[in-house]
Amino acid sequence: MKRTSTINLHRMRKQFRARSLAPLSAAIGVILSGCSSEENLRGYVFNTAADCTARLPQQANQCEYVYKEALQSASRYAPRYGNNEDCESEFGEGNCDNYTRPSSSYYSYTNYSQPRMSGFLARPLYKGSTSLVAEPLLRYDQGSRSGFGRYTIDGKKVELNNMGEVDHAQRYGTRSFSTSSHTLSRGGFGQTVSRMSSSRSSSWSSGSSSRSGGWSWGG
Amino acid sequence: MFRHPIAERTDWRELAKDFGFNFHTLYGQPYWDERAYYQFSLNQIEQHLEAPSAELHQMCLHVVDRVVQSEQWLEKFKIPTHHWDTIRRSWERQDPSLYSRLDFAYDGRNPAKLYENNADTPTSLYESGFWQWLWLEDNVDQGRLRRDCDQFNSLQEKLIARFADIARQRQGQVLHLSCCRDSDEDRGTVTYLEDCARDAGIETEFLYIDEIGIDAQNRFTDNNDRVIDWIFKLYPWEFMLREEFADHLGGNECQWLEPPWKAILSNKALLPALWALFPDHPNLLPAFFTEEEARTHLREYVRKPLFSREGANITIFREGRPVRKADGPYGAEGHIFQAYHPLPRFDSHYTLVGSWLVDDQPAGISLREDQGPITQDLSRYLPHVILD
Repeated sequence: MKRTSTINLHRMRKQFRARSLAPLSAAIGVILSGCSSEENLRGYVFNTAADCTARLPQQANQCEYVYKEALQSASRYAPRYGNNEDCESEFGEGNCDNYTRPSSSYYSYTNYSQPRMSGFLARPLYKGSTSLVAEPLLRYDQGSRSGFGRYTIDGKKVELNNMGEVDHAQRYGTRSFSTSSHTLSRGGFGQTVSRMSSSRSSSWSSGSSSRSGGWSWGG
Repeated sequence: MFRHPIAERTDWRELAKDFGFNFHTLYGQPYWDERAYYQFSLNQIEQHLEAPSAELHQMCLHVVDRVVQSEQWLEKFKIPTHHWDTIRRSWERQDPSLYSRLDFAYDGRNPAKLYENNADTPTSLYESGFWQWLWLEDNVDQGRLRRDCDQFNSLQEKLIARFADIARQRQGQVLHLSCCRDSDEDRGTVTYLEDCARDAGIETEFLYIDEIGIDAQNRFTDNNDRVIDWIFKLYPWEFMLREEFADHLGGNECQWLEPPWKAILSNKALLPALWALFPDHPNLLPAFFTEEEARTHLREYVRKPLFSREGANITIFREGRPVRKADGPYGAEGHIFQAYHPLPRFDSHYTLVGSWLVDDQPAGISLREDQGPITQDLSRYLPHVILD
């Protein structure tokens, strides 16, 4: 057969799509503290919020918060697999969870498997700050990675120093997803088409009269 | 290759609404047309379309390799000088590409002839990958088409696999998708690709091309001020390279789909370049950079702007005189000249075959019909089957 064997028709239906069920607003609270990132910010790898609280009692309430936030990031950004076996082949037996998304959501993954967060990397937002930020970690037990151990979601292996802590913790993970920034300007792409559109009413007389429906820039 | 009339599915318009296919009628005229379909033999598909597509695609990649290494070629392709490095680096890094469509004049008997390569911003993807597939399923289920009818169409499957493949290098990163405002067709195509990406397990976010921002570190940003790590854009490189933000392209690590090196393939200069490197290839039409060469070698030829879409600004010359012309906004950067090889006619229709490639592999075909010999954006889309 020269044709796609099956297509998920449910996914392709648009009429009842409920976009609001796919939260896009979650601005992940990882803020890059500018360029002065070469200071050694020490980070810690914790398995649970309780581990964090035990080590950093001053920041107990933040431990709970960043732990939950890391869990949330992990579920949003960790790789997804079509089935449990594929997931476990990378992350080891019993380390993946299976999910079924609510079927009322148009953009549902009916079923997928995702590695469970294996601890998180917590560090101060900047040197001297009492605010914590955290990165979820995944443990690669086998599969394609060159070394076993804990990795950030974008694939950087977490290296511990001889005190069991993480040097230059700001280098982990913050670049790759949802790096927050500050936009200076917009509109630097799309200029050609807006120029063409504005002159079209005069120069596009040969086509049908209802060109205003929009011109495709594809081909 | 035959054209057969067939009854329309009575409920297809409701189905279209249900599936969000809302550009089946464009400018008040039918675009999706299922009052007829084309039938191919498996041999025609495999020998006349699939195999040549794979070969032409490799030849095209060879052209890119030659062009990026030569200032002379880059000039002929009218690539702005200050972006040569962007394109060269994109090629040397082997930036992955997603898809492309080769357009052919093919009559079922003679070798398919390449009209052009829509390598950067091909549309009619949704109709090809999903909608014509659904048409076949429905008609087979309702007994109007034989159960052994097949279709050359593994587009959706391959797109999802390709996305998953590229995403392995971008784990945890949101894929942004972008196109222009005011085109239902482009927005529909991007929505379809978004569906495919999500099927591959990728988080996506849409923004219009003019919403892309820039931050102090030369990084592109989205509407939430988040850095764009990788982005699919249905907006031509030949436009982008001449716009303000192009100067930031080399200053950040944003990965573009299609990649900058596609600027060489979607450029009509590809056609004379192919002819120069692979003269007399059975699937190529003679093509030249100058009208003088065209006049020397050809009695009838077509003048095509280096950059144009959907048949715009194409002029057909016979014995040196223009005999037919399509208007449009293109042509300022120059033209190429290609042998006039009219589209075959089936009944009274001129038929163009689009041959899709995903991840360098042939992935299906699409058919467009027009009343005139120049296929434009108002051409109707017809489904096809394979049946021996």
